[in-house]
Amino acid sequence: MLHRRDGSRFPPDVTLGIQAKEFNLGFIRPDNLVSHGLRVFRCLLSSVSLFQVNVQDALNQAMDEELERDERVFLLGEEVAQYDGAYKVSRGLWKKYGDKRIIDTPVTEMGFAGIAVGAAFAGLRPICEFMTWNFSMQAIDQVINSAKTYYMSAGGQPVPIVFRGPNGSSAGKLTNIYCFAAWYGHCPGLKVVSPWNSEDARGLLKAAIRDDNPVVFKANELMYGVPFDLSEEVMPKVERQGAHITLVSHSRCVGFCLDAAAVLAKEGVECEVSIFTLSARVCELATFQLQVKQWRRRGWLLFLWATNKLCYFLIFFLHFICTYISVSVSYDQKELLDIRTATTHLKLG
Amino acid sequence: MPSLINLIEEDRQQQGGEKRSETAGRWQQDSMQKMLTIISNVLRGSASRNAASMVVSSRSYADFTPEATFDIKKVDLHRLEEGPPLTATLTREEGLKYYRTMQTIRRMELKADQLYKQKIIRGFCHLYDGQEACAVGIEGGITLSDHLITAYRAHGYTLTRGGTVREIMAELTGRRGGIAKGKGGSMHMYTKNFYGGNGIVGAQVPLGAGVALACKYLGNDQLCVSLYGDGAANQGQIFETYNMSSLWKLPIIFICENNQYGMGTSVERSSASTEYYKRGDYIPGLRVDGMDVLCVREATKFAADHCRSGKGPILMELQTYRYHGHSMSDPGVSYRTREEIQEVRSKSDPISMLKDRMLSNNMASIEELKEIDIAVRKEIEDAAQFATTDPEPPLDDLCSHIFATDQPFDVRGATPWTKLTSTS
Repeated sequence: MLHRRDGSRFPPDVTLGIQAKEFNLGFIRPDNLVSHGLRVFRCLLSSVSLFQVNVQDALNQAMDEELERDERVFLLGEEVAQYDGAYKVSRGLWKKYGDKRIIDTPVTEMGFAGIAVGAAFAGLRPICEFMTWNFSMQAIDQVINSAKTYYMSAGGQPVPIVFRGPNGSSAGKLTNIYCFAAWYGHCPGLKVVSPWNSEDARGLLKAAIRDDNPVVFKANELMYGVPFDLSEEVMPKVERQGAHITLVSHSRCVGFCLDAAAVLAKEGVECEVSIFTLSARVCELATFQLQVKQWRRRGWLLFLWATNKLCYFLIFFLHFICTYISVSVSYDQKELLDIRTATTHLKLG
Repeated sequence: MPSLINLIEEDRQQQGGEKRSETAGRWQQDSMQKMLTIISNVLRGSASRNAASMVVSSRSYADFTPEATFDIKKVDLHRLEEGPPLTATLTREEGLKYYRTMQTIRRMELKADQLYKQKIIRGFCHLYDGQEACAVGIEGGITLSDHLITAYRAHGYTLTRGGTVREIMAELTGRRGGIAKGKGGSMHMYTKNFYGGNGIVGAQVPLGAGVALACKYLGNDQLCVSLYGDGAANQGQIFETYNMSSLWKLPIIFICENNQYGMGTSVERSSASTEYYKRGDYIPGLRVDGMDVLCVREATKFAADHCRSGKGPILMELQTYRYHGHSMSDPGVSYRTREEIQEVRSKSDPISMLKDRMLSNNMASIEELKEIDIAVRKEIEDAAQFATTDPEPPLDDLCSHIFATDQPFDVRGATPWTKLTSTS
């Protein structure tokens, strides 16, 4: 059975799925209320406005600010200029900055990705947009080999480029819906980020543009239209407090985790959707281990080959774990149980 | 009389070459010298040459011809009304410089061959001897503030773009004194405005267009020379690059170094159309004799003017030849005959051609050129000595330079418990 923080066990009604009525306040839990309130209070203290911006507009804002700040930044990709962006992420930028800085390219990924990397060699700071990351497969050589140049020139040739685009599952589609976070995450020298909400999207895109290294920035198409609170500060945060399970996820699946956490909360199992992997680089994940307490179970939700039904699968899976699998962890043990869920290993289009 | 003996000696060396008629120059004469010339012509038996146009300058030791004009081969044109001029002027200084650089490249590549066979250089090693006129001629047509990018046969370009022989050889042997501190190797040598050295065939062409885009963006009147071979010329990304650079009128010179063989595949077996200068379709093209440094230089100047005047990209095909195989693991004779290699060596060797031109036009003496040879040999020997004795990069360098301008961070080693630190 799972253990509570103090080492005691849960009563059977919790583990067998009987609702603990005294804590049934729906989505708002006492500790959530506290953390939510604290967040609002923090924003009020720092006297910045807390307004609702969807991810698409947050990315647009980020690019606008960076284009204005640095003359060397420019955007190139398919339909980024006159079409206002295939997913409207670059809406209004062409009207503001013109042909020189917002460049429409023909449908030749390998060619324009190479051109973007070459421009980065020569001192500019390009943002190369792929219409979706699936199309980056055409240009994967240019993306991966941009990461090798700084190393192989022993620091002589940095490549300050950002590759951007939507990644992962979309609504009702069978093709062009792969998630490439793990593919690119395995490349040394390439920084891969996969934010979820507007604040992180905006902050990370700005950071990526200012970074002197090649950055692969993966958004999710379905998140583009979702509004979030946006403040001036940008930092990754604990989305939901919880004592029993930590769910670590990235991109759109953070939303799934929150939904799963809400459902599980009704059954008394408190999930912390605390740290989501902003970077898919495997070796950086070690830093997150330090932040998770020893006796928690940690379920990882990875966004590989994801389907829409994952939310329900996750709830079922975690419930299964809580109810039927008995795992005991001593206070001193530093090892954590990682349960990684992903979808069925099916090739979809 | 000594001058006549010299001339006869040169004749013996030069026999059998059609090109000799083109090396004739025009310069000041005096009557005694003219008589000697006529005698030498008779001895040579080259009736095709117009003896009256042959002139010999006075042979006092310090008195060399400062400048001479040569006829160069006509260039084939595609979508161009007129091409580069049919004559090229060479000054004595330029001639000596080109000679020295070409000889350095040649000796350096032969030394690299030797060191590779002794297993001091390992890994990839693609040698450039035979193609020296391309590197030196191109550099003669552009400036060091222009940009250049090429594929893996990059040692010659690293030298012409500002690298030293010491650095290049130390990079080949993987030592810390190398141009990329021993971390790049043969195919990843970088200098200012030279972007390598690229391992993926054809990938350097879009990169070059990106550099050209940056030149246009920054408005600095620079251009980019993007080189590729006959094997790479069929790559799709090159055609994508032709399209975009033509659309956006990028200041790029595409140069196809056609050395007749893409690894082991001859051009006839790899390309449906071997007229690489026409493959740009809507991009104007030139086909140039790549074994003649003056031809290459004039064509590059013409192409550079074309780019700088805002007319957009231009394509040059340099017809050249490599003496070595594709790389050190290739003897180079399984897909071509030794006789072919020998024939090119004897008839079209770029260094010999320049040497003959300079000697027959009295722009340098044979002793002077020999002195240059000796100096080059010494330079290469010193560099090889340095490259062999310099220590290898320290283990700390293994993980450094993964990211630029980042804090030092730990990198997992080969096992979970080994940690290395990465610094920028």
